[in-house]
Amino acid sequence: MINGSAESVLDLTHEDNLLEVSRMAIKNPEVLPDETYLVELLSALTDESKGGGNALTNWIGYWAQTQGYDGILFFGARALKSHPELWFQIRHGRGDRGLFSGLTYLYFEQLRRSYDLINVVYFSGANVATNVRQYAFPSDGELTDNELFGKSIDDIDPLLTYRQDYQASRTGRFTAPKVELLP
Amino acid sequence: MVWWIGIVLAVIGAIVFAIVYVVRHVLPEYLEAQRLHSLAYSDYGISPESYERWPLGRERFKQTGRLPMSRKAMGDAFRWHDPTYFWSGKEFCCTFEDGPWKWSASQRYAGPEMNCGHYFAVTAAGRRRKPPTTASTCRNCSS
Repeated sequence: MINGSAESVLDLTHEDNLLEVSRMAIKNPEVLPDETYLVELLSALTDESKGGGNALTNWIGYWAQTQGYDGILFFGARALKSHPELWFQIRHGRGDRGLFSGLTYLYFEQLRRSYDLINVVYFSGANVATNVRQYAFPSDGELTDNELFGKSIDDIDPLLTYRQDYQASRTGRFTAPKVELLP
Repeated sequence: MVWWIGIVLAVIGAIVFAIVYVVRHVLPEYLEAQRLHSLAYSDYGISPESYERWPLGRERFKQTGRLPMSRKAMGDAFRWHDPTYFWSGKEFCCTFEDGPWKWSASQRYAGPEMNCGHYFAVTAAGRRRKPPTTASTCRNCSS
């Protein structure tokens, strides 16, 4: 268990942010029907068929890191499975607009209140190490003050095996085209 | 006349009893539940209080972070972590080393050769037990 803070975490648990980010990430958003856009999007983001992540989550993660976000707050893969009503919506084409529009937002609120389904990913290990105020290992053990809390990346760089120059050499190898969805 | 006065007094008594019962029992329990709920999650910035809501409307996102669509995240986060790859003290940073295994891993919001990802749940119950698929080594750390 860690206790700490991060200045800017992209919150993808809110439907407005999901819509905004998807407009940037997807080249042809018109492929997704308006009626079920949000739930289809959520389905794609929580898809486990390819193990960890897919082209869409990869693009969003890469984009968020390059924009300066510390990480992303997101629904875990179990989010949809724990709310079969949302699956029903997807299958039956009842979603974001018209008579059932209120339902989608209501489901998102329910998901947001299901805190066990919410995860956070941080992009930089060095940032995590310096932003953690206290930690406990195991999590029910005694809290220990983090000696590195508040230090700069330069301060801890000598302690690392893979330092800033290594991180810089790995960054920017990927050029991210927008994700094109198959009709 | 006396009969009517009796009924009125009985109704008034029932109302007073109901008010006293609500104030002494129901209301404190409700407020305490709200307080505990708020304490448990408000730190991480995802409690209901951290959203704006118009009457009869849906929750609106309230930016608390530096960047658009972001929030400042504060509080406890949890994960399963292999003790073999845990370092404390000045070597704590080695626990979250962004080595080649991280860069080549394919994870949610952290694609291979794109960026690294360190994952946490915001509740202890939300942790997923997942065996480590990559080994981390730390040249400067004693394991």
